[in-house]
Amino acid sequence: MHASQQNQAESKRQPVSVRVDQVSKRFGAQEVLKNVGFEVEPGEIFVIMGPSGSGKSVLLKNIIGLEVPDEGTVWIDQLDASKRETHSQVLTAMVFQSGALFNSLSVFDNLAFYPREHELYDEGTLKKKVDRVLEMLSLQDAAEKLPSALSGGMRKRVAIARALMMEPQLLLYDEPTSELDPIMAATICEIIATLRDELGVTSVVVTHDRDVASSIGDRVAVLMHGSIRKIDTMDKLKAIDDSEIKEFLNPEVNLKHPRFKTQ
Amino acid sequence: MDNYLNRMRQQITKRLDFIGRACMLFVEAVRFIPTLPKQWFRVIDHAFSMGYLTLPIVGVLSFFIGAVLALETGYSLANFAGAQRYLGNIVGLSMCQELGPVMTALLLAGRVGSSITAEIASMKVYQEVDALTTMNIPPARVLVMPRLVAIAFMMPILTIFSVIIGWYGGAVVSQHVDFIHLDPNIYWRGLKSLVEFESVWDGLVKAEIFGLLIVLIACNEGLRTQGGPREIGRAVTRAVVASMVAVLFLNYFITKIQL
Repeated sequence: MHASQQNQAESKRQPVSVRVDQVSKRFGAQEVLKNVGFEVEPGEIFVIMGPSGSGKSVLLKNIIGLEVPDEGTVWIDQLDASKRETHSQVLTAMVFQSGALFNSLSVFDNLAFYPREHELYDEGTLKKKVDRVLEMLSLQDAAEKLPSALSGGMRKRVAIARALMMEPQLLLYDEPTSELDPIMAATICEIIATLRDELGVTSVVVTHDRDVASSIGDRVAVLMHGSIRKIDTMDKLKAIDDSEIKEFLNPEVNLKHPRFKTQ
Repeated sequence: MDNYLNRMRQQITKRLDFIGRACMLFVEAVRFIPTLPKQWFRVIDHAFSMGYLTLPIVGVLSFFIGAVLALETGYSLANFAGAQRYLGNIVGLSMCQELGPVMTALLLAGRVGSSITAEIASMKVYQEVDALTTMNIPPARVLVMPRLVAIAFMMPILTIFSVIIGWYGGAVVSQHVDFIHLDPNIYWRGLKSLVEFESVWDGLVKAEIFGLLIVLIACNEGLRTQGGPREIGRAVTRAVVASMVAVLFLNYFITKIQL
């Protein structure tokens, strides 16, 4: 790689800021997001927490440009996220809840898909890059497997690996630990934190898991009924005097069946 | 009454919306034709599955269409002395101008259209299409354009194959059925006398339009799919029905123009 190309690549990898500016989104009669606004600093891990159906995934889709806000704008480094050109200027990637892996391609080809389509490297360099990312996520043995042959945890790791092949400046995670056992969930959290520390990627993580938010979030936003209720560190949020947030963060589950009566 | 009018208006708006989106998808796909040299492997792959693997069933269908056409016509003409020698003319022209292109298109709508819609709809439902978009890879470039190019190459081949096999189907019946028993030389001479290059060309033009239309409808329906796995089945049904109706509808107008 020439020095100029290297410099360009390095500058491309600079983390970006995100500003969600009074975004509203409705589907038919249902208002899913209501004047949502917050800022994410470059290199920060920003967690959006909320109960199911609170609009977390829709918010993420608005940030990556898969949905266009009805009102308001999402800015990625002063660029409008709803414009297609923005995503060719700022490298953004998303880890989908389901993984969204290309089921007809092997793990290796899934990872190589983006660089091949954009003709970023020759095949030799590409193989080295894919191998390095596979090794980073302990997926070396899965390279030739099809996604259907992978466990849930492996699929998530492959999805993260595929996103990493884009060398993103902004990485969005949609429920990265859902359907995973606690050990695998902790591994994924560790990967997210490591990626930020080593590559400086700005990360926005959507989750309903308090432990995930506590362990990786620099700041946590609580999204309820389509609105941001509070943004702070997890420790401060736990101490907050808001009954609904308290109930969500420290739920007291009262199950009526005798089997679930507390000792 | 108002309710009925409202529903009708909604249906018309929905159809127009579908046509508009399909046209936009076509234009977008055409814009990516310059990327063809980088996507030749996809074109070959689709040409193989849409064209080569469809040949056997096109052959079977066309043979029996030609055969039944000769049988029915031969039976009807049996009462008119000497009229059966025109069987070659009738089968020849019917196969290359109408039955070959139309039946191949209807078969394609069922076999290829359904499979394209199912594949793309499943990619949409399982967010693979969203993943492509987030990678800055437009679905029209990798999912639609290679399929359109593949069918543009394969449709004439399928149609010519269908026409020739249909002619042979007619020839076999004309020669071996008791109440026809036509000399093959008379059959082929009659066929050659009426079928000109223009007749075959008209059929090929029709077939090409049908092929592109079927693939476009299938891709568009797949990309519009929203919801869960049940929607995949519904999208397939919609795509096949829409393709077949469009083929029959367009066939009338193209034939009228060509006459």
